[in-house]
Amino acid sequence: MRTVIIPLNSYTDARKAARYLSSRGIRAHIEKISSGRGGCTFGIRTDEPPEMICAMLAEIMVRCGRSMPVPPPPPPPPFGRRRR
Amino acid sequence: MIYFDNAATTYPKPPSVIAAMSRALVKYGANPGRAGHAMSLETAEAVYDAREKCADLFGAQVENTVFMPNCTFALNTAIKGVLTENSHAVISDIEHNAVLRPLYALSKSSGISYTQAVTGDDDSTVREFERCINRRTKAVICTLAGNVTGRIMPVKRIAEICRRNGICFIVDAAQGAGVLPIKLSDGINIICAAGHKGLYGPMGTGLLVTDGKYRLKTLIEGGTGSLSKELAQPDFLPDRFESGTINTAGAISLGAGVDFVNSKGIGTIRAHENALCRRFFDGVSKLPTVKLYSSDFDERYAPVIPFNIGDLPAEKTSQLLSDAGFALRGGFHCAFPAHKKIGTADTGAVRFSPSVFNTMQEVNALVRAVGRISARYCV
Repeated sequence: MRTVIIPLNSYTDARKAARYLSSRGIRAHIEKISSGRGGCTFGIRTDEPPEMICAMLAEIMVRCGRSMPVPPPPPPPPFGRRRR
Repeated sequence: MIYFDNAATTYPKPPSVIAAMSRALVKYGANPGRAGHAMSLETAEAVYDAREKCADLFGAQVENTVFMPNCTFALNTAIKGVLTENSHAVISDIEHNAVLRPLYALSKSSGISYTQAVTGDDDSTVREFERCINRRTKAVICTLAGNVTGRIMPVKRIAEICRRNGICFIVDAAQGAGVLPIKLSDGINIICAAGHKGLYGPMGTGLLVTDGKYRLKTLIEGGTGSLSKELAQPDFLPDRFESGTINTAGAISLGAGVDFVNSKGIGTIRAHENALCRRFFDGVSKLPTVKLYSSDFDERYAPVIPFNIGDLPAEKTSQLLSDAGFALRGGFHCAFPAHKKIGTADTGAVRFSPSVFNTMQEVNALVRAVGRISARYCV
């Protein structure tokens, strides 16, 4: 499963999308992003296929931008050196 | 002070609205729809909740429900947004200056013309509106209910005329929202409403609700928290018409006002206010010096009654009533054509407009006060 962020037009669209998806049993987290259309906007983070999400949001007339993969978090640093 | 000036703004506000305002100022202090930090997102969600409530009230999509500083700003946005140079508009003959003044300004700057349809009973009003439409007509603007006369306009029938002629129909719901049922599905393209009258929100709030059919030019441009790199104003709602920081606490508490209206029910609110108007009308009509400007008060009217006491100037009557502990507005109510219509162009009138919080006892007390003023000044 791959996590993506789907840019939307505005916070209003993002909230509308998140609630709609939630009503359909899909978790979507709203985030502010700086690399979407026009430099900054709000998007939704989801683990679901972006094509499916965008098709669902089209039903409620929410326009999606190009989804962006979310890189996996870096591995945690190793424990400090153990004393012998 | 017993307050009967609710057509200007409702007072008192419901405790839930006051609590929502206070909570908003304390808890929702970040600028909504701008940052991604937790407080901004929480504030944005609270604003969204309020927006959704307002949208549901008018049967609109949430994104097509725009918060405005007041109904006048909403009307200016709609009127100036839809009319093009040298186009024509039709309005009723009882419109408020919030409709008249933008049109007058446009007539001076952009060659726009407008015709006032003479209103009467519903059938003649509808015929008049249709007669006034010409090939240059781009918009019809009509009040839902007059702020002086209280007369309810046949907006559904006017909407059908506009639909047949491909004309944008804008309704000024300042007096009617929260008291009369009104939805976009009535055939209306744009509803402009005050948040601080029948919706019991604070002053400094209003709404522009649209079906999205007509693309409006912007009145102002600025920061919207979206597409910051682009110089062009966003082309999507609500951002397109919400430049700058909105009245966040106002919007959130307006949502509480809509909750209050829904909890009471528009029908119940109207029945209560109509009963108060009925009592007032019946009471003062027995006083020989009191002038009323309709033959009766009935379902044709929103809860607004203009009156005068003898030949007393309306402002004088209003002052005397204020001295007696009653708040009513006397004058021309920013709607001079309405006063010309009812024959008070020279004197103005005093306006009785109750709210859901007024009582029969208060109305009876007002009637007695009107009687005392009449006896003292009009013998």
